[in-house]
Amino acid sequence: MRKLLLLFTMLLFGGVIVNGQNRIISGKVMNESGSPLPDVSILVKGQKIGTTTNSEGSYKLSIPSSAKTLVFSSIGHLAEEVQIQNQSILNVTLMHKDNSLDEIVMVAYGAQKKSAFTGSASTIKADVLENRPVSSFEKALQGQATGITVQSASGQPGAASTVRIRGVGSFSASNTPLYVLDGVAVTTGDFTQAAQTADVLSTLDPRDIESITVLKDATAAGLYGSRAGNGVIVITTKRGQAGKSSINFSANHGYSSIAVDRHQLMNGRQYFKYWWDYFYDGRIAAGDNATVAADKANTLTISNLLANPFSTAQPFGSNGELNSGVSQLYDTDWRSAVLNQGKTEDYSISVSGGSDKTKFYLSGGLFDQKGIVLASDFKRYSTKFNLENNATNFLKVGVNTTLSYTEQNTPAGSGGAANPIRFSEIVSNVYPLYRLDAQGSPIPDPAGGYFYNYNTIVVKDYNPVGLSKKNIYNAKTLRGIVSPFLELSFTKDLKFRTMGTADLIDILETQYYNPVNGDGAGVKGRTYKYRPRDLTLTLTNTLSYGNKFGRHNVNLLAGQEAVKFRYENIYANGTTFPFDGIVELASAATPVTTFSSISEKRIYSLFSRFNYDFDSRYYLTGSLRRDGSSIFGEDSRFGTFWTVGGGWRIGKESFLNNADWIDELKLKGSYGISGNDNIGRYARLGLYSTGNNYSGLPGITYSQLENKKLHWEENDVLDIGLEASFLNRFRAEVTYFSRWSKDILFAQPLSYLTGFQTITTNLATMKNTGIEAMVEATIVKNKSFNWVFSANVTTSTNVIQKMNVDSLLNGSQRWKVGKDRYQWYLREWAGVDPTNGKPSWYMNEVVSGTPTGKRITTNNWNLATRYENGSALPKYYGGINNNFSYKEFDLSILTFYTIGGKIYDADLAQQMHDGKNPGSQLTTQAFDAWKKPGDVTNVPRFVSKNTDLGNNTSTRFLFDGSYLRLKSITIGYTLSRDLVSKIHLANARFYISGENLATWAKHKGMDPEVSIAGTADNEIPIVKTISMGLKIGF
Amino acid sequence: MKKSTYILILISSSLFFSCKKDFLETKPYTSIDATSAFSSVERIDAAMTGLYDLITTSSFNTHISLTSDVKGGDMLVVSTGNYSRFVTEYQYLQSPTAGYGEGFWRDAYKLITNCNVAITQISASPIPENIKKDYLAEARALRAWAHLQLVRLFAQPFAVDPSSPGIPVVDVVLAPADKIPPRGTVKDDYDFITSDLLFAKANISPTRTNNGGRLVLNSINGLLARVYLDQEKWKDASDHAVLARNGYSLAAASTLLNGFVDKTSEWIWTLAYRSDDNTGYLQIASFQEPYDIGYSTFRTPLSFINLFSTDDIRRNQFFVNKTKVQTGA
Repeated sequence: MRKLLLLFTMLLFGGVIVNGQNRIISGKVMNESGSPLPDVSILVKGQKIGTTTNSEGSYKLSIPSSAKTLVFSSIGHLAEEVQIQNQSILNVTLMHKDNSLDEIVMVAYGAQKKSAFTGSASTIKADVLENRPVSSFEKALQGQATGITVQSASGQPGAASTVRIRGVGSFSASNTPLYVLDGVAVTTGDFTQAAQTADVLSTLDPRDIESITVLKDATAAGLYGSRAGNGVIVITTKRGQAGKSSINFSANHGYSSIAVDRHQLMNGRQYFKYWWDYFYDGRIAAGDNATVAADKANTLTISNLLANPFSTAQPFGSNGELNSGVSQLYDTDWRSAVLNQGKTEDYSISVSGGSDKTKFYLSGGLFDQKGIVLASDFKRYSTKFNLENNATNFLKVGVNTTLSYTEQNTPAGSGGAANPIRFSEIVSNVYPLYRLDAQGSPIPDPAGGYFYNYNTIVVKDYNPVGLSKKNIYNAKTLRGIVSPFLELSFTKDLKFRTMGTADLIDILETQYYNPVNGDGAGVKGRTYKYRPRDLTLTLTNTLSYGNKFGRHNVNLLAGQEAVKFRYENIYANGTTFPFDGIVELASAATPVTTFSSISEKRIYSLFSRFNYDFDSRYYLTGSLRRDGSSIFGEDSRFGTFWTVGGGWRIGKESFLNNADWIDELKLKGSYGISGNDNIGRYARLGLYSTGNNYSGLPGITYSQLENKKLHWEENDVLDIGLEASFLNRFRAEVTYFSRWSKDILFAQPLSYLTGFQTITTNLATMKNTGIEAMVEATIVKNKSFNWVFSANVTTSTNVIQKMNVDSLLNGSQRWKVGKDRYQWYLREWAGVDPTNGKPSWYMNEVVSGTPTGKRITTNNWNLATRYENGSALPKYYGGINNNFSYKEFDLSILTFYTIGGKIYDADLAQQMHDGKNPGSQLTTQAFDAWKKPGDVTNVPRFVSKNTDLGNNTSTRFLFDGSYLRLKSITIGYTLSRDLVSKIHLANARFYISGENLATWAKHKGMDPEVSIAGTADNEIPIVKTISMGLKIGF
Repeated sequence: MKKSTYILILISSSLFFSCKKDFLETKPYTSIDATSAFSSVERIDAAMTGLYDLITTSSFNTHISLTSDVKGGDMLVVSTGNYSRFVTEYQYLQSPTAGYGEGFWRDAYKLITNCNVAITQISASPIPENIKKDYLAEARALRAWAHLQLVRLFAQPFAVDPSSPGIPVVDVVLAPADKIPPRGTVKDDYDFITSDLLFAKANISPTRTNNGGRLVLNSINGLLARVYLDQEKWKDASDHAVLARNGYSLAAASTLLNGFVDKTSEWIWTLAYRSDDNTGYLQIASFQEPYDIGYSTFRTPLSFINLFSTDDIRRNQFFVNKTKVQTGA
């Protein structure tokens, strides 16, 4: 296009050119790595004569004798002015321009130049997302920006992640940030009802995303008012450019396996022998001779475990070795039985382009991921269509459309007996996978394969492999986001924009328990069908005005927004199926439940903002928003939220005029108030609920206490930051923030005597303060080699400042005024008593009713005192990233780290049961168990059906959660322009990428990336993935 | 330019709608305002029905029955396939956080609160006086029943020490900020329970039938018999037992081995559990019945069965796996 324009210009002025005495100058323009640069504009300074380079970077220009200087310019590069002498060949190298100053920051209802921006935001570009084999974009944000934590505790494809911006501000209300897609807030969360984990964000194809901006402070996010309390994540999708249409194709194939090795477990022989030893010692102590004791130990072990993986009923002899001729029939490694190799396939194609009048972006994608656990997968078909058209010189119309369909299978989850992960961690290897005949061979199933063994004493009538082939947890999600918009320009300064959005989520979910084994056996099969529909309608109108009065720059915005949320759920449940394998409710003989319900929420808002700057040096921003929410009663329905911010570009001051090395030096600060209303939609009302039926008659019961005074939760955010960049190579940012959450929506516990457990109130206050810092340095920058290093760190503290009670138990943690929200509060492990091998814990000594202030130990877990044991929140977290490029090769290494924060290893607790649960798996650490008085060890005595409670929750299983993870490493090769043009492509790139390839954790044996509360709930393990991809542009 | 002004006026008049006041008024679809729960005959009927639903949740009455069984010492829990259910109770390891006790406390006071709301609201409700009296009697009887469950679970038996600490009696609707009633003595609890039940006995409609699984005069007399028995007031206990049985003939011996599924002539108060009314998992039959579905993990030792004489038909109500008994497997 530009070429055409230039040609046109040249033609126009062609007459002038031929008049002078001309000569020809030619040459080649290259970038700093030596690649030729096409489309570089070359102009004779002061004259309207010029040309552009061709695809090989060469140019030829006829110049008049008056020409002194040529100006070479190209997008993304620093313009170069070159004096001409007499030469006829002039080769030029253009340096890449660090364009961070000209970057645009997406803010509420618009965009701002980064240089003029007074708030705190982090922008993540498409290239960071592109190579990553993740089902949803937010998983790729970890370590990429300060102040944001992303926890993906599950390796289930399509799983939900926990995203927190600048800590946690709430108790009962949601802490999830607001996600804004192309100017409209979109629905997030898990809308499935049977799946272990799901996330509607994964309906979006990350490859359609141009950039993601994390808005952290008040001025950036504040205009979203009540909805900005937890920060805002702004997603901008790709759109077309005027000019030749570009077609891009990308493909990615990846293979996954478990990322972190778990605790080593006993094999079948070790496990059997461990029990055998216990019984043998018991018999010897009871006076039996060695042979009798060995025989009895064999019998006792088999009868206690109800398993015998050996070929005879007397496998072990008194020497502790297998008797001669005894063979081991099987050794079931349940972990490998339930895990398989994960696989990702990801394809997308996009076409974008347009003219000055119409621009479009159209894409289609297919993402297919098979998880590492049986029956765990996720498939997405998506399409995106962004269109805009300048209908007249004052009217612009357009539409942004996202349409996607996902299908997800998950295994049974959490504490359920059918959860394959839990099963494989707690069932020992002495139970066979298949049913065995008398000779110990698996019995073939006429339908194929072998009959599965459902008989273990630990998890009776379950076999995760067998069940995974029969039971169903399937969710099909249809998501459509359609946003038509219209923009009117009355004058070039005054614009009106209106946008309406429908965000529809429609799910069909099936949960099926087969009639033969497991959960459905008792009722001859059970099917649940869930059919929720969530519809959000948003209408946004804004009027904006911007003008320049001399050195004064003014921008004003006023707007109005109305949002309607409606969730409708239908489900039905039936049992008693005629036979195995038939799933639909039509086949069920016993209808159990039919259910439907609706909930609604509405928001109405008015807002305004002004931006002012003087001479691009001093900046002032302010905003005001009034939100009404149907969550609150008439008297407290409307909340007023406001922000002020200022910036000072010190680098622009005259006293620094001579400091050429400073590219930018800016001091900025902001303060503002936003809100939160993310609680139950009818939380303020006193309610009697229907559906509490009895004896076939409809009944109602008192279900919720009224709280008329319920009102907005408030977040006051202060942000002070300094930004600097210099020598066109270094960049640094440091920000202090404090986020003070007041009137926190809080489920205040009540005495059960009131008939209720809690009432929703605004009773707590909490403060998050912290520092975020970022440095980026271009360490090497030359023709062929570039190295950019960046690192970021966030440290923050969380303090509960006020509650209606001094402290409150929250499971294994305690909320206490003066402490943080994730403070562990457990019994403290005091080790194993060497005299009797019993576990011991600390307790406060009390003598005749008065505490002495001393701590003593006790063997009784129930008597042990609970103490504060530190927080689950990390002290520091961040990322260290390196990007290298050498000629056509590039290498990027992204790491993520957290320091501090305690995590609880529940798996280890299950596997250190000291004999409590015969048949339950043990780790090899159990070999260290106490045996006789005087033994000093950390593993208590082993007793069949142990009641010592040694593995009850205590600090025995609480560990330092610090870790460093090689989040992503990518090696890419981009074909040189010469090569691509020879094969008639616009660009081509190949890469190999590794995700989560290495993890260095303080505590080994579990994945340290757990939920924000520091716990894991038998989740599907996080995966490491190796993938290969290619990207081709036509 | 003129055209655009025109469009602006058009759009701003249609889109910049004034926020109608009722736009932000949303109402729940499956609940009603608590203050209106006793405003009509139908609502009161539903609220009275709801009281029984609160009894039948598995975390309450069902778990109480099962807990009492395993704590009685006459039953044992086998570990195979039991998923540690009721083991805390069986091993006497209950604490405020371990075992099902918290649920009993929570659910009983929830029922008591619902009864107290009914007792407060019914007096002023738009229903005929005779129905008012009948419903008040029913609500007070259920309130007594809930207190009786609590005092039997959380305090010393009356026969051991009536002056030992009891459980708090709640006879008013407590607001969140109200002072919580303290624990009185076991005797205070029994006095309160007796007075509620005597009120119920005097006021409940004598024409009620026991078909719908709700309380009738006979069942209130039965509860009184139990309460007097606990207090070792033998005469009162015996008198009320006779009153309770009045009109309910003993079932034929031949029906005693038919199991506990179909109602017989001697059933006075039946809690109606139905397959279409999900009251939660972990039901009594799941643990007690000998079939290989559900948990089926509660067992009676032979020594307990042997306490019944051989000609006692109740002895035959136990399922004995003869092969297992003979082989000792």
